[in-house]
Amino acid sequence: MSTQRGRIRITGFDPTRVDERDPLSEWVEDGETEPESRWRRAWRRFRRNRSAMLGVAVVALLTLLAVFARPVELFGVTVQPIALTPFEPDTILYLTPEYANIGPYSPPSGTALLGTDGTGRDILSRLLYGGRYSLSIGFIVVFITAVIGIVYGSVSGYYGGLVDEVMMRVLDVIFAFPGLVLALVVVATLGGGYWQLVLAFTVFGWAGYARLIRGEILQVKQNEYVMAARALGARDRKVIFRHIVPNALAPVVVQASLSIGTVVIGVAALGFLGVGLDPTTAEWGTMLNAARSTLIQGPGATLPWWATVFPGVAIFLFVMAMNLIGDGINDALDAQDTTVTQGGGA
Amino acid sequence: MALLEVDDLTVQFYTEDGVVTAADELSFTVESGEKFGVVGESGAGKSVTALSLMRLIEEPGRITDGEIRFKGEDILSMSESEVRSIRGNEMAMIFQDAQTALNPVYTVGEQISEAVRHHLDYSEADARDRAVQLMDDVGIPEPDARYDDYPHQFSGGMQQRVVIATALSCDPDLLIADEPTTALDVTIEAKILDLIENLADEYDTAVQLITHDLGVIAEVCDRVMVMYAGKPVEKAPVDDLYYDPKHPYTVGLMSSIPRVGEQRDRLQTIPGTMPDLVELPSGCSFHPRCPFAEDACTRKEPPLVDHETGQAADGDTDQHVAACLEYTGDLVEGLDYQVDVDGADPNTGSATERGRDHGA
Amino acid sequence: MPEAEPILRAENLTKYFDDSEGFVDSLLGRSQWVKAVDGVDFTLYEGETLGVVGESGCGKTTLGRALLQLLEPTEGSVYYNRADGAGGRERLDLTEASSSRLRSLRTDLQYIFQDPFSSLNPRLTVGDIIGEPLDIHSLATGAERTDRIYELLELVGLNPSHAQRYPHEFSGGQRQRIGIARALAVDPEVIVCDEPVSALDVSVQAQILNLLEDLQADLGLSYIFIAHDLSVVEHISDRIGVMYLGELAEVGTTDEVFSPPYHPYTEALLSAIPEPDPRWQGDRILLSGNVPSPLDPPSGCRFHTRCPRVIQPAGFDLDQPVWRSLMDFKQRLLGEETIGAVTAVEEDVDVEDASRAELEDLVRAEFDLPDRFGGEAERVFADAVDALHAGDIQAAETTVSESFVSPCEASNPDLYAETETHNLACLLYDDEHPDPTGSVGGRNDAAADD
Repeated sequence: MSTQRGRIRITGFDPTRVDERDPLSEWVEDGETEPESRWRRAWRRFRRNRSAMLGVAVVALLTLLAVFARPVELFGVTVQPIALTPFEPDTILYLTPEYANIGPYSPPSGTALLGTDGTGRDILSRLLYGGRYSLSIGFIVVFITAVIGIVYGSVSGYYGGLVDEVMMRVLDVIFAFPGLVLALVVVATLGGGYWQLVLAFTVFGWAGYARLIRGEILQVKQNEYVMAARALGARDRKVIFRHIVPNALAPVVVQASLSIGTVVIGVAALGFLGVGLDPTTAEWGTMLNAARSTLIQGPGATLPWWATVFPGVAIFLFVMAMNLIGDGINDALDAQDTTVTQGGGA
Repeated sequence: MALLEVDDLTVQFYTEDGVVTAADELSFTVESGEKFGVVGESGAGKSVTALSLMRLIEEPGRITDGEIRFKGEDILSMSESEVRSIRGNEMAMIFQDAQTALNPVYTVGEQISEAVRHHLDYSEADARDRAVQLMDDVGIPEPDARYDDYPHQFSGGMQQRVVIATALSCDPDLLIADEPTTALDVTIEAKILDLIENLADEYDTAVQLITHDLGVIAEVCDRVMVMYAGKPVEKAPVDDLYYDPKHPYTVGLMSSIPRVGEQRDRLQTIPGTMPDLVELPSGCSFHPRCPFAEDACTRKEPPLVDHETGQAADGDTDQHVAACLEYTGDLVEGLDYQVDVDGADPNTGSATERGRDHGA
Repeated sequence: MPEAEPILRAENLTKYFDDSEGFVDSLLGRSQWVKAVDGVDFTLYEGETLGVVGESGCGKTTLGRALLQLLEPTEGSVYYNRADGAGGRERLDLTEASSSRLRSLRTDLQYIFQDPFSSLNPRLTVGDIIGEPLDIHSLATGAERTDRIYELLELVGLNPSHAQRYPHEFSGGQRQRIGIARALAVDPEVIVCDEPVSALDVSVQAQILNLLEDLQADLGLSYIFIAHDLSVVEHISDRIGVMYLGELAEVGTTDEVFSPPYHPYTEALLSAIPEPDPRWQGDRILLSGNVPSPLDPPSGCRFHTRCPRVIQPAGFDLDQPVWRSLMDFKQRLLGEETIGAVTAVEEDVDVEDASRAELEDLVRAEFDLPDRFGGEAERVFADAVDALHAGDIQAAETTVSESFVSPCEASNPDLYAETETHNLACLLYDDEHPDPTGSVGGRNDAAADD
């Protein structure tokens, strides 16, 4: 029994012996892993996610179909000559003598595989071609809103204080209104049309990204490597763009991939309300809107289900696929450190 | 019959990088009322062992082999509801991070009395009385008033006291404490350890204390098991382990801690890091880091044997066993280290000059 | 060892944080100040290691960051004696330096962080992490940069081929080595090591401690080593500063501070370290109470609310533990509103209806007071219990706060020079406050309640 500390002394456990001797076995401490960046690692995980890859396949297919639906001309030069669709999207079939037997709302047949709409146009052709509107508007809107949101949110989050306070109150005002209502107001003011729709969805749509990245930046800012960069003498600009923003991007990427679907539904909703694109446009939502009247019919009438089901299925497929992709990205980025790591640290 | 008997417990995690064997044919016993320490570095499989005792291993982990008998009953073959009636009742757990172990939306009193109401069917009022009494026992001042406080109103040390009160609420036979003081300051740590020790004696509860801190083990425990890479490498009564360590890993651990009052300029460290559990070195998993390793160590996995007789461990709790080929007579050079104790009295005198000249 | 001119000297270094909730509060002037570091003076000499130790929340990390101007100090100066290249030294006040000047000074003053996981940017390769300081200060480019990175990796015991890897591929100890290599890249003179080993396993911790010591010997570095683990600090430091609630309680060489400990707080800290020796029988000093909030630190000596050796007022001659318990009784009374706060819990006894005698027993039980301690104190205690029994907590508060007053509450001790190198802030050792109990060096266990 003793009150003296440090009584036990061990000698002879000499670590240099390990360093000096030849390795006893083939085993090496860290032989296995190839250097792999975060994004490459995420991509590897993503590729292994079957539902996400299914989503990618669906989106790729829809995109290809949209691109090759009709020839593409740029400045009068045909850059894409292939035409997959049997008809022009605007061709009214019964006006051609050849197809005189096909009228408005003809059921699916050998000529019009998915039937015709109320004006007698081939629904398959319109669906394939209409993908150009629905798909492109989603990607364009998301790209623009994400960029604006990232810049706005980064500034707000990094500088904090009064700047942050004012910028966030502006966001609160935007969030006080449902996004679709704001879009509706813009379209109602400016009129319908492709670019008007883009504007309608971008003008307030960035707010979500701004809030998201601001929160993320507040969190990343706490990391010691940000303090470390400052301790090394790095300038603010470098700290933000090299250390903070890249580490805050992951949730924004997830959010963006998920909101492409949301935008497409929004466009379809406006189309369905009849305020989106020109009613004759082959955009999916607008097509639904055109066939809306067929849903409510008197007794005894037949329901031309193909006029509403096929555009609906197209919207559903695309949005579903985008959500699968979004979830896949989320899992791939999120699950960074779930693997059991090496010992040696807490 | 021992309170807890673990036989050949094997726990595996199925990860992307391969199968991680977090506990590998682990056997040990805890007698009732005993304080049993488990020590090792992170990744040694200490926490996994604790969780499997309560059958709390979650996907992708699985208990692939072995038997856990608590008071003679096999936990692994029980139904989920039978296990639930044991958890928190006969076997309770204290976690490292009291802050996350407490639910922020319930008052601490509710959390302490919950287990009593659930397991012992106390009425609301009786449960409250019991909780207040427990809070007083663990040293929370004015327990009656603080019963209705929320966890965030407590300091870290006080939160850990609440967790201990919760764990003790049903008067468990076994208390598993997983790094209970790691997140606390030394002054608070001293008080919490004191508390655990006293309460365990008072309630006659066995304690399995899991920690990386050899000082904490020395303070509280009767027996110790040292773990390395999912396997037990040495088991002994606490005095034997500290004064006469037999496994090179234990020796390395003890020589790498800075001790107050000693005058060493350099610490003798264990080189390298704990191996990835996916791909363990062949033979003895410690051989790449062991200064005494020989060719034999790369070929043969050492069994856990009595260091004197070389016979396999037979479950006698006072036995001092170590998993090193030295004690099966397979080493040529032998181990070459020395343990000195300052001012060793006759009782401990045997500890000096030990570790030398054994083996072949 | 200490020589005439210190390399770094802090004078009255102070850092307060605004604890108000949001800017509306601060607009309305409802600010609360967390006094994280409150008027700290110390010096660091060339080539030495100054350990800074204290419990969490004592302000040691804030001190390290304020020293290097990573946090702007509220008040005070930090003087750095910079080698001017011609063999001489020039003295700079870091708190006055412009931001560009400060940036260039970062090549001399570096920081090693606690958390090896959050201190490395996960998106950069190890080579880029170590190369960053080289780029920022244009120290090396091209092949020279690559060579320097390899050299640094080797210096900290890592394989140069690891330069292409990412931080997540390394263990905690290896990451800490990367952090050290990054700090060394600019060839600094002073490094603040903020708990560099507390997140590591014991064997790895020892490796890093050895590495830091080797680097100090080879490169002539001066360290400020911040840690909560006394055994680590004792092992690595030449001199030690003990911090409590934003102030330095004691500074001195390791031997002066620890063997034997003078300051009651140091003594308590030291006694609390679990000794890896099952037969060790040293006495634990269990401090009463919790660390008070830095928002509103106690008056006088900040440690008086927990100090086992808190001084008794003139005319009192109690056993020290009794006096400590009476102080606890007073603090509890002043801090809380109910009678339940000062009584032990006893089944079947309701404090509201308890008889005078029962109540007194409950209070004594709660504070581990003996049946009789006699003298003036006994009388005051009886008066207080009378008031409590009458239900008049106010009166009880007045009674005790008038009589149970320690000199430690009244005056805040300055750092007083015990020897040339050993300073401590404790009235027990201040000649102007002769110790009335004469209990210097006497050690008493405090009541273990909090």
